Amino acid sequence: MKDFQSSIVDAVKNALKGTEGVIDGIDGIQANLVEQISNELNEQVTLNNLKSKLAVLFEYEKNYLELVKEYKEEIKFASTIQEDLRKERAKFFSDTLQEVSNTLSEAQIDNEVASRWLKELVGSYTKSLDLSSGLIEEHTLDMIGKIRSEAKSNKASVDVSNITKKGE
Amino acid sequence: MYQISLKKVNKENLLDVLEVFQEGRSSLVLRFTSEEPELFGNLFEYEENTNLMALVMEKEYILWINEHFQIFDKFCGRKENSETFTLFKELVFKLIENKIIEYNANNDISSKDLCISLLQDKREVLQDFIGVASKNERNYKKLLYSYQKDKVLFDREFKRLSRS
Repeated sequence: MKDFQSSIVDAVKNALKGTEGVIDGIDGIQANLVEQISNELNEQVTLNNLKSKLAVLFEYEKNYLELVKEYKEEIKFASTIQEDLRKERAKFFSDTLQEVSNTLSEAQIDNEVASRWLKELVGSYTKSLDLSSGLIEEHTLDMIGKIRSEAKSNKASVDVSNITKKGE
Repeated sequence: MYQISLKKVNKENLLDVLEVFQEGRSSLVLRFTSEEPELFGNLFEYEENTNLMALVMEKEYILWINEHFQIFDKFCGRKENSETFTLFKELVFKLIENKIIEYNANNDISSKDLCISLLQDKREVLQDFIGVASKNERNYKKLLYSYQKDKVLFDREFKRLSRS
């Protein structure tokens, strides 16, 4: 496939067809003219293309920002409950477990028995935490799905032709 | 594997269920940190009997599952929100399923059959629930009295194993 620059050169050459020999030295002048017109046209078209692309990009970004703004509270909510659960998990392993271990030890529960119960407690506690975490995760994924689907539906209205129409 | 359907879950329902489960975890820890007399009594009484100690553990777990229903009733019972109940039910269902899978994979658990049968009963009652609308029906009462029922069945099992 011909590149864009060659197409412009061909178009200018065609436009100047028939002018050869009208003026002395026209061939050399024509070659310069073709090159100059081609370069200018190419610059102009490239600039227009860039402008269109930037406009599309701007529209995309604008839509995403609007979506994020619209879902700000939802995103904040999901992030807060995830953070709370992470803190609870960390606290369980850093403080609670030690507290239970101390109580068992102070009550003079047999070491082996205490160790089995601590293991059981970790299993039950983390099972419950994991289920809660799974629930939050599904809620978050559900929200991301909604955002994606809205972004997709907005995408159709953001294309070069629509941007060009707006600019006209 | 059982999947949670979140199609109609709103923030309030989600927070309610998370709160019930958090309360469930707190009550689990509290039984230890408060030196709950019945539990600690068992820890001393059966310290040399591995089978009975394992049975105490299973009893604790199953009673803990039951406790979730009491907590739910305390926190969300008045709201009569069927979506919250459905979500809660599905999560408890998973808690039960996980334990049944664990029992089935482990042949060392004493009174495995009793534990599986208790959990299966609970699972069946749960499966019959459609929403909180059926709260006044027999099934809901069945769940609420299961706490006492399971305790008695465990006590019978303790006596049986102690005699043998």
